[in-house]
Amino acid sequence: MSEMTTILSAALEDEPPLGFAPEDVVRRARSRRRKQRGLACAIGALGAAGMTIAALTLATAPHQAHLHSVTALSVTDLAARAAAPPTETAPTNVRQVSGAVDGLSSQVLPTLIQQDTGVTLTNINVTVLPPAGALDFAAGIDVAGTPYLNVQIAPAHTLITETPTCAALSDAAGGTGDGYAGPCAIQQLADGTILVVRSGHTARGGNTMAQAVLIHPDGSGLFAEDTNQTVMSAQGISKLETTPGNVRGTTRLAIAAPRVVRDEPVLDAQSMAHLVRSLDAQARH
Amino acid sequence: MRSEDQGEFTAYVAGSSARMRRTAFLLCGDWQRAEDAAQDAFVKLYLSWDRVRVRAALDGFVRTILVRALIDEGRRPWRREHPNGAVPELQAPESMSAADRMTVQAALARVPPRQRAVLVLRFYEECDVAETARVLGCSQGTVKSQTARGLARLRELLGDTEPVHADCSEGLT
Repeated sequence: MSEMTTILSAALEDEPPLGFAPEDVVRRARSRRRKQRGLACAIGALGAAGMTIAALTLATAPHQAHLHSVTALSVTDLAARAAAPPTETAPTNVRQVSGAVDGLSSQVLPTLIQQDTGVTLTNINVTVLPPAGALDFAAGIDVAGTPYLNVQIAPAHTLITETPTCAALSDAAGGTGDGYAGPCAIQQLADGTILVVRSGHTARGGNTMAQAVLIHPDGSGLFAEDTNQTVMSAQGISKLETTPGNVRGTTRLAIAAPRVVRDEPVLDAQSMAHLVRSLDAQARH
Repeated sequence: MRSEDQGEFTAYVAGSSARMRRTAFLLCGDWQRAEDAAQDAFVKLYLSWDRVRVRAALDGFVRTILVRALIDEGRRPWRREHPNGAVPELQAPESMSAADRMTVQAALARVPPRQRAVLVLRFYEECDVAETARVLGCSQGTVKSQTARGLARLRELLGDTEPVHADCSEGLT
């Protein structure tokens, strides 16, 4: 055994200096947690001159665009992208839009959503998410705390069409999920469309959500999520700080994490499932 | 994570990162990949910190993540081990030249992944059979047989005089 130990140790003699510190690990872990849960600070790149923070009346812009620029989104990516308020892109991407995806225009969405769910919406904001051009609808539900409701409509070739597993969707430790644990059902519909319906809570922080995703075989789909966290507003922007050496040397914009305002979302998972199917029917009408 | 937990985590990483990276290197044969794997294992530890109740078990937790991340035998069935024959005596060098070291590294890289993991865990990490079995998710009997076969394979490879080019991707992801 000692011989073997000597052999193994000898193989390590050209060991280079360690290239990371505990702080790097903590930074990476926090970053991963942010992506998974979409709760922590947002990083905004204020590149465009003259743009103001007030443009962020709702912090519903896309986050971590690089994650999605090459490959299709998984359900978890989509959930993280929807739940996270941050943006890495210039505020020019945070805009009200008049476009439509799969036949659903941003103008009709509020009415359709309110009719289907029976809730009244406030602080409505619709954006187009680069690079694929998914329509992102974000709003607060007009009850105490204005909890957050998000609907995304993704064009073809945007979503990963492989059927996910419930375990992977919630697996925070494995780095593949969003960390929400709870009931989950994945159903294959007759036309090959996948319907994911889940709800859950995080291990810490008291965050809960109800979620439904419809994934068509062509990679298009709809995502709807209601949470027990307040919708982000301009007041949520807590501070501005300049971080030397930050990505592209830009200003770093920190936005306070959404606040939990109730025990459960206003709408449950079945309501979300009904909503995505209803909107999908409208889009295909 | 609470501040005291943060301090505990940071201290643990500071104290174990070099060792975990060495373990990863012995498993994959590439320092950069080893560093990435070690960092990733610590990130997963951070994310699971609340669930690791027994702090004394941190090494085992990280080791398990590390080893399982680096072994991908199941996905590459064509990399499975092959039986070997004669077992030459192992020569333990007192001081290795760079060429000898490369030969050892290359030989280690050619040991089938799970056998390599058994050797690293038992003889470098000094895990006992039970702990090795737990990390690898197999029986103690399997650990014993893999140890014997891994040792035999390494001896066979080191018995070769022909230099072998190290390929860290062989059998591992």
